[in-house]
Amino acid sequence: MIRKYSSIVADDEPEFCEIMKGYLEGFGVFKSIIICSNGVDAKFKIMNQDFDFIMLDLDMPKLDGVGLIEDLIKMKKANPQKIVVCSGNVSGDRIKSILGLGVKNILTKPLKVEVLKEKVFKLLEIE
Amino acid sequence: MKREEEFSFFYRFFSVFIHDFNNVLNIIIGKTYLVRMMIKKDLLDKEKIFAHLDSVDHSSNKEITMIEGLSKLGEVFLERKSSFTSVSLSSALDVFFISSFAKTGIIYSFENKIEDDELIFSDVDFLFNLFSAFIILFEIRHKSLFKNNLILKVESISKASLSLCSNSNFLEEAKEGELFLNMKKIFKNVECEMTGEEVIIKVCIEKNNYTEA
Repeated sequence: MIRKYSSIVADDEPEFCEIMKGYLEGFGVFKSIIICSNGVDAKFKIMNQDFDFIMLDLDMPKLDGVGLIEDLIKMKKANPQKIVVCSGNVSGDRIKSILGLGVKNILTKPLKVEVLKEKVFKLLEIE
Repeated sequence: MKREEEFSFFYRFFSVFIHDFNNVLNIIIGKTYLVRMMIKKDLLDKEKIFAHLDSVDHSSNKEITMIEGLSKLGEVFLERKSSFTSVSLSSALDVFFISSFAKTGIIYSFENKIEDDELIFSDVDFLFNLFSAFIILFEIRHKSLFKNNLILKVESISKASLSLCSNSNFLEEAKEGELFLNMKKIFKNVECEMTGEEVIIKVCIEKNNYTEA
């Protein structure tokens, strides 16, 4: 499989980022995997580069996941349907606000590699 | 506390634990996977493998500590049922601190600026829940950051604050850090102030909402 896709993972937990990087590398389809530890850095990176796969945590310092998604939509820098939200606690009002923004891909931690793989391949339309 | 508010409080309180449990479990599952992949691909970087295994070990212990903390909270609840009869702030805090800190080794000091016999909250459950939330969060998550020094100040009948003496690295992170975010999740009004070497997290209790049982 050719590694042609670019991805970005934003999460304030360094170990989670390391694990996600390991997962995504293992899929064999990404040529680059950018890691960000807060919403502001992620916003800057997404504004300056097109990503095929965007994975965001909800609870991040400086700018949280919901705020980041709102900004990206306003700036037309990301299609909400292509964004994957992953958090340790996605429930109640938070789900409503995420769905309200048009984000339909919501994953909860602990995240199993098979679940992520299925989501990634579906979003990237890989057979 | 009204039933609805009580449920809301517990929802917010336990959400933080769900979040933490899931995060820790994620590390255990994820790092185990990474080690398995390394072995499968003959990438036998021993240092890296041990680092992953240490991480799994550390996370497992953290999970155990969290479960112990929750058990302790349950015990405190049970004890409180039989020993709490008054709603005086100082007596409530005494019971709370004695039962909560006895086994933790955390040194605490408590400054009470309110007269002992002044009735602050007619709903002792709220008060109890409030401080339980504080302590559980501090004890489990941030004990190492505060040099075991934590001061709880009750400033007025509607304000409580925590003063945390800590190092400069933590001061930088405090305002936007995990602790503050978690506090915001649990309590509706939270402010963070930094004064010299001290971080003060102020939690404003909406007195009107909680004075009636």
